[in-house]
Amino acid sequence: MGENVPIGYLTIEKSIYELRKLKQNHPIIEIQDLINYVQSQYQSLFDIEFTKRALRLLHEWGICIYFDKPIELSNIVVLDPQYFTKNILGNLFKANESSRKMRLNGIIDYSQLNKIWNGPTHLIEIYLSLLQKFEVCFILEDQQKGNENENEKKVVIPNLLSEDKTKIIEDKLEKKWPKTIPLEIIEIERIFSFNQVPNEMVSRLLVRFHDKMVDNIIWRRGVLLKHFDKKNENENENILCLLEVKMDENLFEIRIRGKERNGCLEMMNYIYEEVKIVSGYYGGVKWKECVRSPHFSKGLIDLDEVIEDCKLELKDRKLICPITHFPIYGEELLFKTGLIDSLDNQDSIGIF
Amino acid sequence: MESTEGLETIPIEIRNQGTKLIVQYIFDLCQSPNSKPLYRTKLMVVGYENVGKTTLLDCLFPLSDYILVPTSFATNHLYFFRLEGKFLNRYGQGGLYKQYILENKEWSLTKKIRKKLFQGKNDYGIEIEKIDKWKENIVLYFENEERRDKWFERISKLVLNEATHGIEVSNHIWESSTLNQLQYKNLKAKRNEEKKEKEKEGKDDYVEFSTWDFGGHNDYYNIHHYFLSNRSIFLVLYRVDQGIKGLESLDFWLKSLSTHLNQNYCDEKGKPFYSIIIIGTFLDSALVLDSKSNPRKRKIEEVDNDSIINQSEDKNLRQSKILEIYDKNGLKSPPFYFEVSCSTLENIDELREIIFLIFH
Repeated sequence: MGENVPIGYLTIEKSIYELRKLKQNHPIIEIQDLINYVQSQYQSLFDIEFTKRALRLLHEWGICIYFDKPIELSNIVVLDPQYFTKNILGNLFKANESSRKMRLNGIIDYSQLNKIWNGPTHLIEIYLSLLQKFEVCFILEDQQKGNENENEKKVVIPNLLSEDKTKIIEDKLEKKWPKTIPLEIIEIERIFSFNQVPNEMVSRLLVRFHDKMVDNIIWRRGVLLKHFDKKNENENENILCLLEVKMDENLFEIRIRGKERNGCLEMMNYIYEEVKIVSGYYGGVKWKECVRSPHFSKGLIDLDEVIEDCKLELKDRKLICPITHFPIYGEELLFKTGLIDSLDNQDSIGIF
Repeated sequence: MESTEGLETIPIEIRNQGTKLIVQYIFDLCQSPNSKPLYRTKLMVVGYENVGKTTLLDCLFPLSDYILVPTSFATNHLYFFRLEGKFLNRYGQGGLYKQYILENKEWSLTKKIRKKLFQGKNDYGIEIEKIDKWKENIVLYFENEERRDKWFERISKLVLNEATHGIEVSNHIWESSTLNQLQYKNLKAKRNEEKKEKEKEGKDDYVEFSTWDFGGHNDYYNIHHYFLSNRSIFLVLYRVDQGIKGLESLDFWLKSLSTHLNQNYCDEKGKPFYSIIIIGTFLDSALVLDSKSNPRKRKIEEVDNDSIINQSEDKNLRQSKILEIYDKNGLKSPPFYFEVSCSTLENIDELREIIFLIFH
């Protein structure tokens, strides 16, 4: 099957090959620079949307690397895919002992990066920001000391962090997230149940969440987050979210604690939207929001079913625990998820 | 958009993006009346380390050129060379003249540039030297630097015999002459039947491949997922000689593909845009050959459950196990299955033909 391709797309492709040779040392450019090159060499002026459409197709064909999502990446074109796969990503994950030692437990000292990418500092900065945009890793500043010294900076690759919480993380978590819910604090809970949870998906999500992380409490399968109040544009440590991933059960367990329900719901909504974005990168991943059965915690009930059941007269309700088959009072579950503020009030179901 | 019938000449990457993008694409096409049809696809090779991914690609995409060879008495002759898998074949008038096996770390390679030696032509050379007491060497001069570098890169990989680092991306073009005469005849027949001779003869006799050779070491699994795309032909490799362990390794890769590929992206006939070819490598290995020639040995070894399939001569048995793993992972459209040897090149031609046909 031959496919018709606009000549303009092929002009852009030709320019990519030419620019690859000109920029062998660093074949990464911004879209506008590509447009300028095409205009200067071929007297063709393409607008940015046309160029993006061409780049999307050329990416699919393996000519360049271009992602229109996330938005931060949409302005960058990697002219030579192999440069990215071998020199940048490949070197970071190099399969030899010294490299493995360097990235032990997913944390690399900033000062070690020149051993990974043998190049000038400004290139290392570019690689790092690119990898951060690709959601591979993030830079961890030393929050305790507020230190500006670059030697204190560390690069975290969530996918290589330790599987379980370390003792330090457990101690810190205990302080911020005590086992018993403190007085005057409410907790809401949701379960996101997946058909499958790819390792890399969790890692990408953790990179996206990193700037909301509390006290560096992060491990390969979880993180403690603080709320960011969009309206007032400030961080709010009064609302915290503990996200834990249960790989063997293919689910995310999300618990949010705060003083008032609306703030907790806002935080839940944020988590939901982020999970939706990241899971969208994986064509085969499907998921739904659930709540745990009050009769058997392994029994998960689809949140939509709960909401639908609650709309029925009491006599018509059919909600049961999927394990014990005992009947369940839907409002109890909605209260647990924060969708209603009391067991008596059904009119205030939060809308997402 | 429920059906994309009639839009076959629009790339499938666009067709599955919905009406808005299709319209935009048609608009872009209208603005360039001289648009031309292209035949392109991504070929992605995945599998655990040491299953022979790079070697298989080297077999599928041999390098061939007329190359200048300096001889004694300062004369030079052009010979046809073909680098296929680990074999460097030199052809003379009577056919294959000499065969070198470059894979076994017995050779070293250097780049030689001898300007003005051949009046500006064939200045770009390489020297391959055997590391033994006889110091046999092969000196080759190429038409231009680009060809020299291509040969140099391929031969270096062979003589060093190192594991692939990261992901190796290359571009290749297959013309119908890549196929042997019988395959070419079959392909023509199929094409004529399907296209009702709408296309002019010879116009679509090529495919451009972007090959992605995914380093098999588990450190690199962190990066694979960024590059697995729906519109690709996937070669998923396992080692036939590793028995049940080899077969079970497929589960990891097929699960990974099912996670990343959108099963809803299909053409108007419900066929997904990806194709999967599962390939058993090391067909020539001693274990497989042993069991073929010695059925009694197989019976004995069946006592050990783990080695039932390992020692089985029965390709069907392996195939049914593979289908079971494939179905379990919810992938659409049954895969193609091949068993090949990169040492003897057994079934390589057939595999090449299938890849060609899948695309067309």
